[in-house]
Amino acid sequence: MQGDIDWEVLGRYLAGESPAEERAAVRRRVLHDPEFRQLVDTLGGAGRPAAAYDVDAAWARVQARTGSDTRSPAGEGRFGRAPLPGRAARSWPVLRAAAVAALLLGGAALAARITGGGPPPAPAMREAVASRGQLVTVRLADGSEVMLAPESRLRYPAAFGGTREVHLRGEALFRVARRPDRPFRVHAGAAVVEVLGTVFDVSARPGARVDVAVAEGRVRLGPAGGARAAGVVLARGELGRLDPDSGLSVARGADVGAYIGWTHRRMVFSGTQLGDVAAAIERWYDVRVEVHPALRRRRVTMSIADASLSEVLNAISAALNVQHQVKGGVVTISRPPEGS
Amino acid sequence: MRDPGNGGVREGMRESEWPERIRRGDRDAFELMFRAYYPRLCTFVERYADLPETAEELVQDLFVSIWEKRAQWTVRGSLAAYLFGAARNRAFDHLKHRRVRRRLLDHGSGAVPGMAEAGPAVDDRMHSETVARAVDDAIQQLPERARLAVVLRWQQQMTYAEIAAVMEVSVKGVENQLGRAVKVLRERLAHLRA
Repeated sequence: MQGDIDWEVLGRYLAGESPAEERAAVRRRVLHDPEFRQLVDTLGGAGRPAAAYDVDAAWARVQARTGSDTRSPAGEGRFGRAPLPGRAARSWPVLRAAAVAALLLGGAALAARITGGGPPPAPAMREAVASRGQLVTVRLADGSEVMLAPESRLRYPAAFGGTREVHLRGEALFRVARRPDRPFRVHAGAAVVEVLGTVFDVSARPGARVDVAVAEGRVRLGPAGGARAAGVVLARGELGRLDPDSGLSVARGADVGAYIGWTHRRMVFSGTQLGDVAAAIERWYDVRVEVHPALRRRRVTMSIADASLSEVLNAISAALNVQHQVKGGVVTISRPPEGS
Repeated sequence: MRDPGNGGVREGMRESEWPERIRRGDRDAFELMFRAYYPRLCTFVERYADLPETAEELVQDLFVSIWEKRAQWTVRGSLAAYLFGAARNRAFDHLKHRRVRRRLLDHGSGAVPGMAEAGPAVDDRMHSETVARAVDDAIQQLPERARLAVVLRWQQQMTYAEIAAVMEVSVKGVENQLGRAVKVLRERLAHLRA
């Protein structure tokens, strides 16, 4: 770790009460110093991957345990169709007994309780989250590795069954362990990406198209719920796009480096609209970026590694001949004054 | 943070109304409260008491017990403070019964597992995983109340007033516990500096 730890600053940051400038400074250090990042993540409770709690299943259990009482008016109808009816309610005491035994016997028995006794057969799901300014790497049960870009989340089973299915929101780089007998599928927005090879980037921000860039191997990209034939196979160097309006398209000879640059802390834009660039800056630096409406469609091409917020903004302002201002965690990008 | 995919539950009911509605037997309010707090409470129990295997069961027990005793249920102050306080009491009792008091209750025990390997004798640059492990161990070694303050403040982003309500101490008392925690962490993690 480079330099001292200011615990007062760190405490305010973790409690979410830093002034904007101070917060930006901590974010920068987090981006540049992996050990400092580890310190901040662990203190903030993110050191261990946050288990995704299956709230529906948990609610079903609580309902089953409290379900005998249906006197309340609100309890009729809706709760009459509980996901876990009487059978589950009866099975609960067995679960409890098993749990007590497990405490005496140790971890192995507890695992058996979860796989053997639990009412819903759904596998235990986990969730990894990269918040703003964070990159998070997840290792899956099959040895595959997923690197999450800032403001992205991945839901995945603790153990894989016959197929390997994960759910992505945001952007991630997948390095998939080769298992020809077990398909690996990424569910991302309106798309399903099935892996036939190894390294690829999926970008599925809410409300937008889904982009898949293939660095190595081959993947199949198709609409969620569609037949396999509805998809296209993408090879190395190809960019597949599923757009809610125009459907599936493939660009060959795409600059895959531009799509995976973020994995090396490099921001790469290639003819990207300023509005999209602003969204990326918000994710990386945890600021709000306001762009003058007339500038939103201006295109940015640049590549900048390990840069501070002001370095990125200076580069954009110089390239587009625009102005920017940073005040209280808000970046304003505006047109230059008349005559300049 | 979580998808609001709770199909059809009445939205727009204010959180402050939940306890009164639950007292009257309104299961919609109970479900809203459950869905709003379940993941946070599970994370809290896991981190505060280091109980990954039993956190969910413990929190479910808490909700079942609230529903069973709803007629007498009273919440003074904020609902969050009540629920976190109750979860903490349950985790604390659970640990007492499991006779792992040494881990949770001891104030400043001597041996710090994981820190031995990470001590200054290591001449390599410290590996990131070791940093996470050292920090994790240092938090788990904090006195119980100091750790509680740290987890609520830094991992649940609660205000001093909310933490004071959970811990049933004054705001000043919370500040003291946090100050104590920072002092210990600063000392134990001093070797992380280059």
